[in-house]
Amino acid sequence: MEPLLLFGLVLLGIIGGILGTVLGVGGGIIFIPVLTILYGLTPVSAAALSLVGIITVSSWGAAVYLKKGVPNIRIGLLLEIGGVTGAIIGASVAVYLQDWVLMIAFSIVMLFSAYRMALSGSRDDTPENCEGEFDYYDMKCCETMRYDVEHKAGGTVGSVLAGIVSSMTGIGGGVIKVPIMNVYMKMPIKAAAATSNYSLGITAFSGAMVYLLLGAVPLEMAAFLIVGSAVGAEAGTRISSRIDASSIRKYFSLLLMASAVFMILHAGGYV
Amino acid sequence: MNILENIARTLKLSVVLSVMLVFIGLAAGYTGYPLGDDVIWLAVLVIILSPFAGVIAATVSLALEKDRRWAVVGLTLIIVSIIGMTIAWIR
Repeated sequence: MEPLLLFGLVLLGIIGGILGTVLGVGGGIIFIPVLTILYGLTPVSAAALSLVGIITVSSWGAAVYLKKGVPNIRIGLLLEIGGVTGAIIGASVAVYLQDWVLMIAFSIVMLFSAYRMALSGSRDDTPENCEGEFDYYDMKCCETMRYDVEHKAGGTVGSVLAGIVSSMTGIGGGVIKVPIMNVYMKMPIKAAAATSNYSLGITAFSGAMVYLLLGAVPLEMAAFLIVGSAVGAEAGTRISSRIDASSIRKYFSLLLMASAVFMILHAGGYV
Repeated sequence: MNILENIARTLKLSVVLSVMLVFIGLAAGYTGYPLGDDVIWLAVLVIILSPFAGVIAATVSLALEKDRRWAVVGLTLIIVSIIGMTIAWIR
């Protein structure tokens, strides 16, 4: 591959790493459109490469956020029993699907991500009760918040769907996991988003492992994307505490919608 | 050291190791050393396995804290992951 294109992957990793860490989405929604439209990869290769990038961003980002104590590791492990099962199913099925089917699936997930992103930040559900099995330290309120989690078994079953979507499309399953945890399992949004950010990597790991063993990961491209993603994730964790991510989310959701429409047209052979 | 610090340290170590292997693999490849691709494959494997290493660190930490209920959950996740990797390997 041309050196310029390989260094473009480092740049893609940096941008994906920064936005993935700041927005808590792992970076897949940036990686997938660029890898399929600009680099011309097949949807399976793009998904495989994107999952490698997501794992890099999630692992480095989670390492920083874990020290702040917000992610709920126990619930994350429980939900990932479903997530990993779904990811194995998704990656195994994806290699048999036609490219246009996967591109339409990418586009639908991207449109849903954009919709969720445009709505996020509009509600504050910081728990007011002082009792609960779990807790996290809220830096905004400067106090420890306690909360309970409902429907643990149902949430684990729902995470199977997140795993299938994540490994089939190469886009992190956070857009499904966060609503499951926040709306269905009644976790506070901050704990749900942080737990999702931590668990993105675990879901992506099983799908990526299937792709690696099937020989679907372009190794040279992955090498450059890993370097860029690690640099971007480090930069993202440094700047995320200094900026207001809510306005970025709204503008970024518009870009996502445009990318999704472009991918639908690309799948139909119109562009 | 608490659970969160154990996981954070494991994840960071895996990423650093993978990036180091990437540089070694690329340098080997561009200087004509035949094992360059194998080293890059190893780097990709290390980064892919990093969340799994984090799960193992979490499970061991929970077991050491005698939090049996959640240690069993972690162990179940490890078993499911190993079954998935085995299926992929067989295929």
